[in-house]
Amino acid sequence: MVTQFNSTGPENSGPLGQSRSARRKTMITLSLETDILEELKTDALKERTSLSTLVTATLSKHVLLNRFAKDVDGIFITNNTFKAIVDDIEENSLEDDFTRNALDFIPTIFYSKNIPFTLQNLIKYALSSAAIDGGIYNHFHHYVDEAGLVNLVMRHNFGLKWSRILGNGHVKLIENMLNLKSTLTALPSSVVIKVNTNSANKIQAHSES
Amino acid sequence: MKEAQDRDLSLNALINAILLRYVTYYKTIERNGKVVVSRKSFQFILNNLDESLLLDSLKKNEFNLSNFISLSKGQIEFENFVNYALEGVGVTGGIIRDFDIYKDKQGYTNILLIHGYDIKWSKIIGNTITDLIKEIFHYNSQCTFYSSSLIIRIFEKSI
Repeated sequence: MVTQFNSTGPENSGPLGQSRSARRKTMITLSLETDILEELKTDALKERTSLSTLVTATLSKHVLLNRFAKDVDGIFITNNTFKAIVDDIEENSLEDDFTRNALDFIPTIFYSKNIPFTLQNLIKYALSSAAIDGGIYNHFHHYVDEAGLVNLVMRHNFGLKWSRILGNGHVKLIENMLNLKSTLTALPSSVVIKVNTNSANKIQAHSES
Repeated sequence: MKEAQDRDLSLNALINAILLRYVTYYKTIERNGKVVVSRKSFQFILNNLDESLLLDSLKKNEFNLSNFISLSKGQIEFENFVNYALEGVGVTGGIIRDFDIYKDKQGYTNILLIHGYDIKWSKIIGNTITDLIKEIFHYNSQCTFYSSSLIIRIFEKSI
């Protein structure tokens, strides 16, 4: 079955280089296995989207997450299993493991894609995309509050213990990667991290003195 | 395009493979909600988590029977089970690295599962899959566990 699709442009125009809407598109013609095509048509109908949009979204997810997960030998687990794991394992051990991974994984991606270490880039490339795709929380937004602190809000369904783990891990990541101080407020279904963007110079001045 | 070249595949073949993984696995786990865990973290989880808790959760969630019935469109056949549990949840989901199916000298079907973890994981996935085979097909089977693989011998010659 031959089908035409609008697909994302060449990879070096970058899944990380441009926003999803700004990415260049290229028309391609594919010969799809009939069973797969029929299945996709049914799914597109159920999701009230076009076949082309569904295929493009699936290919994007492959480039942004699934291929990477495969490359690093990652394992996909359901939310229910993850919740059972979080509830069962001792908090400090789980937090150590999460933090160790975050401190390795995120800077490695930044180095490999030559992305400058800034809070803006951390939000764009890690907190509002890769972390959501990876499932460690399901919603993220950020804003600057009246005190001038950048608030990072992560929502999830894994309970208060996970909020503390997520929050403490990110506070350490932000300090380690960006040299910025932050504090957290943990709630059962969200964590808010307040980042002081003026703290970098102070930390540097303190260490120099 | 680059990935297709690296893997020595045509772009068309690569896209078909990606879309096949979507229809046989990713769309189901996306619907149920998923977390991607790195290999190191999963080994840490295995070292620290109660074996029976993980086994129960895998059976109830990862290898969910209603997902199997839905994906196989009600055709409860061994081939569909292989596509769902071994190819989909197993290999695509990262639970195993690879598998092989062969008949032994006695004519019984053997499933070899290869993974990257330890014998505890061999026991968990072995017991999960043999329980499923019993529940779905009523076949008795026996597992032999190794450090990074296991063999499930199914006592049924008609497969």
